[in-house]
Amino acid sequence: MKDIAIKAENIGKYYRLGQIDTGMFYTDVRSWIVQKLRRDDRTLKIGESNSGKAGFWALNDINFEIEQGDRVGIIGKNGAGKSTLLKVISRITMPTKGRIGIKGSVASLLEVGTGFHPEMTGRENIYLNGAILGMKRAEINEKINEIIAFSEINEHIDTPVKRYSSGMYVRLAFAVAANLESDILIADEVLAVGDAEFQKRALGRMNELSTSQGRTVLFVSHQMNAVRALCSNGMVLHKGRIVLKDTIDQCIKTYLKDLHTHCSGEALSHYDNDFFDLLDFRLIDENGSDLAQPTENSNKCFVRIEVNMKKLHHAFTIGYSLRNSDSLIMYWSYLTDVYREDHSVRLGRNILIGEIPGHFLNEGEYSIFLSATLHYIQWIVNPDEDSPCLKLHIQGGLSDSPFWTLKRSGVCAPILNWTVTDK
Amino acid sequence: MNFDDQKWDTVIKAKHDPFSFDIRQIIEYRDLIFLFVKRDMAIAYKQTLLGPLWYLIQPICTTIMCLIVFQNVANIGTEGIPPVLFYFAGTISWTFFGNLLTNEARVLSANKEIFGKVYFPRLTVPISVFCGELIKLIIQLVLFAPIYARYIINGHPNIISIKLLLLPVIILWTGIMAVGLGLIVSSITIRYRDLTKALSYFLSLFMYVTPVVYPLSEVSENYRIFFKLNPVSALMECFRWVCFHTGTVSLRSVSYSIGCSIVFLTAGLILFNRNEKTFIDVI
Repeated sequence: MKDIAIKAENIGKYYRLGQIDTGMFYTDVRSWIVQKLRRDDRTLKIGESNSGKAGFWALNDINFEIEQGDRVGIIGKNGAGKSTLLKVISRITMPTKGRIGIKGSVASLLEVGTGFHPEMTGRENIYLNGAILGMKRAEINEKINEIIAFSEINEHIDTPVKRYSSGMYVRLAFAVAANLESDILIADEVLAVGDAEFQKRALGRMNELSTSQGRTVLFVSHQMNAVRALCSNGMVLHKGRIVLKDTIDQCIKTYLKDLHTHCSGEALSHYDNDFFDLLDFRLIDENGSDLAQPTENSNKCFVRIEVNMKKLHHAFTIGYSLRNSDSLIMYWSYLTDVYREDHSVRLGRNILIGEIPGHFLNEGEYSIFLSATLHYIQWIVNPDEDSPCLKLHIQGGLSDSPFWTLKRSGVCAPILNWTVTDK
Repeated sequence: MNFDDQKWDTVIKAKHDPFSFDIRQIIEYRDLIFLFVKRDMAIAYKQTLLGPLWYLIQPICTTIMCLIVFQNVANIGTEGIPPVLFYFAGTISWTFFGNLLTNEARVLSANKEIFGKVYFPRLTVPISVFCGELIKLIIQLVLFAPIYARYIINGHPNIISIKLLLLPVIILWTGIMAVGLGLIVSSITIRYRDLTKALSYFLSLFMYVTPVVYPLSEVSENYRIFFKLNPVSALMECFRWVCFHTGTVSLRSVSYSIGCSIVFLTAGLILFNRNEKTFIDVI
C-alpha cells in the first residue's frame, strides 16, 4: 500500500451570514447582547436557529485520503466549494470543524504572481515571490537562470514589472511557480490566464512536474480537458459535499451529465416573466432522449425549449446563444431566423426544438444560454446576463478520413467539399 | 490506518492553541522577512525626487519646526538640554513609535491579497515591519550622533553618561509597546475599517499628551498623574534619561510602562494569531 499524503477527516467550513459581523460596531454589540440575554428569539420563524447567525456550510462532511503520487482533479459547479476546500488545505483559512493531516511540503498556487510588486524588477520579484511560496534564497539562486529562461523575458529581467505587458507578467509569474519543488502541489485555475499558446505550455509543464517527480497534485479547473490531461483520479463536489470519488474520466462524465444536460423544475421558475413560463430546457439527441455527453462531433443534437406562453407579441422571439470555453459567442440562433408563417408560438404549451448540426462545432466545451427578446424592443431573458445555461461537450467523431482523427485548431470543424480537376 | 497513528508533517485543525507560535517555521522563512524589509525600503522612495534622503529630511525639518514653535513661541523649557538635541531626540523616538504602530496596525488589511492566496507564517510580516522601522531609526541615530558629539565637545560634557549603553534596551521596549498596540489595532481594523483613518488622527493627538516635545517636569503637578498614566510617557522620558542624563524617571513609572508593553504585546500576538486564520473570511 502506498503512503497517504493527505487525509481529511470530517472537514466542515461554515460561513456566517446576517446578524453578526455586519461590520458596524453597534449592531454587532446589539446582536451579541441579544444572543446573551435571550435564550430564544421570538421573532424567528420555526426552523430557524435561535442564535440569529444565519449561515451556510461551504464544506461539509468532507472525508478523503490521497495517496502519495496521486493526481486528483476536483470538479464541481461554481459555488460547490472547490476553492474553499483548496483554501482550507493550503492553510489560508481554518476549517470550522474536522482535521487534515499532510505529509511533506505543500506548494499552493491559488494564483500566479502573488506578492509581485509593480515597482520592483523582474529579478527582484522572482526572489520575493519565490520566498512567499516557500523557497529558500539558496534554492532560488540555483534556479534563477532556469526561471528566467522559462519566462522568456531575458533582457527585460531587470526592468520594473510595471513596464511588462500582461503576457510577460503572467509568464514570469508562472515561471517561478513552475520551478517550485514540493511534495504536494495544489493548483486552482492557474491555467486560466495567458493566451492559448501559453496555456498549452503551462499545462505541459504542470504535467511534467506532476508525472516525472512523482509528486501529489490537487487541481481545480473548469476546463475539463486540462483536468483530464493532468489528473488520474477525481472528486466531484456538489453543495459542499463530495458526491463522487472515482477515476477522472468517470468524474467528468458524472459532472457533465448530472449538471448540465437539462434544466427543469423549480430552478426555472426564476425566469418566469410576463410572456411565458419556462418549463424545461435541455439537450436531446435524434431520438428525443437526453443527450449523452460527451457527444461526437458527427452527431446532430438539439436544443429543446418548453414554454407555457401567457401573452403573445408580434416581435417575440426565443432562442439561444452559444459560447465556447473562452466565453466567445459562436453564434445566436432564434426561432424566427427562418421566415415561415407557422413558426409563431401559440398561447399555452409550446415545444421548440433547434438543431445543432453534426460536423459543425470543434471538439470542446460549449455553454448554451437561453435567450428571449421582443425584437428591437426589450430583453426578456438576456443571454449575457442572467440566463439558464446548458453545457455541451463535444469529443471525437471529427471525420471518417484517416487524415483527420485528432482535434485541429479552429472554432469550427466542418467537413467541406473539395473537388480535384485538371482545368 | 487511524489518523492519530500516523506521523503528519502538518495537521490542520479547527481549534488552535492561542499561544502556538511556530518559531521554527518563522526562522525557516527568514529569507522572506529579509525580502519584505528590502521591498518596503526600496518601494518607499522609488520614483521620488530625494529618495532615501527623506529619512534624514524628516527629523531635521521637524526639529526646526519644534525649535520655532515650542522654543521661541511657546517658550517651553528643555531641562537644560540644548533644544536642538532635545527636539531631535523627541522627534526620532516618537517617529519610531508612531510609524511602527501605524504600520503594524495595517499589517492584516494591507496584505490581504497575499494572505488570501498563499500560506506562509503570518508573523513574518509584523516582524519585517519591525525590522524596517528599526533600520530607519538606526539611520536617524547615525545622523544624530555627530550633532550629539558636537554638543558634548562644545560645552555640554555632562549630558553623556554610562546610561547611554541602555539605549538598545529602550529601543526594544519602545518596539514592544508599538508592535503590541499596533497588532491590537490591526485586529480591530479588519472588522471596523474607519479605525484605520481614526488612528493617524488619534496618534497626532496622543503625541501632545505624551512628553515628546516637552519634558514631563514642565507639566504642572496637578496634571502630572494623567501623564504618568500614559505608559508611553515613561518611554520618552527614559529615552532622554539615557541620552541626556535628565528626565523624570522612577522605578514605579518604568515598571508600570514595561508591564503595559508586555501585556499589549501578549494581547496583540494572541489576537493576531487568532485572526490570521480566519480574517480572510471577514475582510
